[in-house]
Amino acid sequence: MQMDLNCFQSTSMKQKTVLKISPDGYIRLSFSTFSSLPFVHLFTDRDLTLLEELVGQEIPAKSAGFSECISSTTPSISLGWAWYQHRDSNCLLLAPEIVRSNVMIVDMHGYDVGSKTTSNLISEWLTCCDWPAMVRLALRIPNQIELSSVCANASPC
Amino acid sequence: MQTIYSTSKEFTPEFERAVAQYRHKIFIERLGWQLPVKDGLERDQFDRPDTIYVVARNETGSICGCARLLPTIKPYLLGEVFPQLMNGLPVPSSHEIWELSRFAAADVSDSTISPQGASQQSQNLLAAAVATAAAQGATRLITVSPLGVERLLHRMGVHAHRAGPPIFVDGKPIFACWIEIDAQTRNALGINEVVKTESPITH
Repeated sequence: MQMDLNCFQSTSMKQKTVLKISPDGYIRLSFSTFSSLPFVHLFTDRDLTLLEELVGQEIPAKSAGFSECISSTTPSISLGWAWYQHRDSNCLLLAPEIVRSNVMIVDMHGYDVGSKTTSNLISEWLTCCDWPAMVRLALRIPNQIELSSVCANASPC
Repeated sequence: MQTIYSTSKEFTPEFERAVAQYRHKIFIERLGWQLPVKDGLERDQFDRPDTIYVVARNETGSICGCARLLPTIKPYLLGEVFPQLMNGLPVPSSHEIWELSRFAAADVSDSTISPQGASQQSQNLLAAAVATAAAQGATRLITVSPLGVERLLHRMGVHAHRAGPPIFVDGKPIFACWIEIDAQTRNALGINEVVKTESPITH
């Protein structure tokens, strides 16, 4: 199912961003450049193993899965993340795992910020995207979100 | 768990067959991969006499894990079959880059193992595979893997990252994953010293 990841749909999308893969496989770019790129949904699926693991960690999940999206660029930036649906509120939340990607964010001097910081930055970026709508559409999950504190805490944006 | 490593030409025919049987149980029967099979044995064109294997055995001697290491300067799985996973980059070809494939750590004779125990077995086998590859001069590994492997690697604390987007093969998403054999990975796997290639424990 092809759909836009409704995130940062700004005028910068119209600009042609030149991306390059480093010999080590990472695509290096600044966070501001990353944030300006358009992404599209690749696929989403449920994951019962992940659900069992989250419940085992006493996370109140009623379903769980993972999603993949790619940038509309050449070469493609690939992002993957795990999510779960909160048992009581039905909110879709990011699972407490790192976001997987082929990206290395660089600082203003061009130095790598590291894989962990890159993942944290992309996680923060994701919380500002309407990925839950994308997941609901892909899995046909009814939109029955209650306006609870859990949902409010899910997005700082 | 005992871990051994060797090229297949140093295996006895019986042990080589046992490894192929184990791979059939895991990759064909359990995971449903569509791979070449003959007489209940799983082998392909990359199982050459010079291919290096890392094999784990339990207390009774039964195989409970396996991994295959191929140098990227010779034909290997990603290079020959899945070059599209490289996101447009040429496939690796270097003495310092080896491919890790057919990785499995599951004791089919023990259904009582806990998730923690299974996770530890995976980590031990990966540590042995990484150390063996490092002893051959590898500084990086490349794998073609199901997406779930990525989560496993990150949980172990290994420095791993995808080469590009996943693609669907036989209805399942797979991707190419880099594993950097650096301080982060060595620390995560508890690899303190390089395995001596001069003295492989052959079977």
